[in-house]
Amino acid sequence: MATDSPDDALVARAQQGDAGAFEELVRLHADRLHAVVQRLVNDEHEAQEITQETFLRAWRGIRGFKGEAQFFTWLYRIGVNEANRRLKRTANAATQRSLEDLTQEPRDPAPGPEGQSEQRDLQTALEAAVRDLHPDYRTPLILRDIEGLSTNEAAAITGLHPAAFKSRLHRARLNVREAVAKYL
Amino acid sequence: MRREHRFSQSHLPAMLDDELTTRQRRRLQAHADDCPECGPVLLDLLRFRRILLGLGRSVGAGSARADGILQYLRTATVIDAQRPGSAS
Repeated sequence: MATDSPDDALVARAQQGDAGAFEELVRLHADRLHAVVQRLVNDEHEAQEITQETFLRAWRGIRGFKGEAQFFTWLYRIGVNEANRRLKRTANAATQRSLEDLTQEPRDPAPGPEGQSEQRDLQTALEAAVRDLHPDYRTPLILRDIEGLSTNEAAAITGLHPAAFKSRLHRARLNVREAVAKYL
Repeated sequence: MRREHRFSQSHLPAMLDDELTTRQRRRLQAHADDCPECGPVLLDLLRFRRILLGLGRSVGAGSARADGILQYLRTATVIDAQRPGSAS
């Protein structure tokens, strides 16, 4: 059973059909969920659609939510699954390039100046490297390293066993490091 | 050295995720301080984590997108309610 969270009372009311309580859950989680989905699909319009669809599915399914995980874990799982389903369907080669492609085709060959500018260059390069990861690796990295979720929370969202999740996460981190090597 | 290198390689992910005991962390750190392979990897990945976490924190819990979503939900649930046999 998940520990009590600020969402619990709202979830309980929403499960009784209280639309106002569910609206409050939307207000609490909309921006973060959208940010996660946006990073997954790299498309603002699609991210908006997925976020809307996620909350609609959550509203329709909230009576079936048993509280075994935290509400946001359940919500993110719906969103991440939908995002990955769409990514597989579209199979956008430009957003799923392999690490080999990345190393052969640097995005910005010009080195940045010293200090803060270097840090900004590295941040930009990191964001690009994350975007270019295969979704199987991008999702763990976004949930764990950008969202700051625990390993168990993030693994639950992806539906992976924690050991498999950790393996993918480490691979993703190493791939990102290789992709930004020229900024180091 | 080889034994410590193997230990470092296998425990690096746990180091990054702060899942090592103090003793394990010190052991790995001691090796990484001298190892030309493990040291840079550890430093880089720790640095990346700080930057990436900062990106996530730049998007706080908020509701800037909520109004559009709620409008969508209201429209969609009205449609739901109009379906034959709908409970809502």
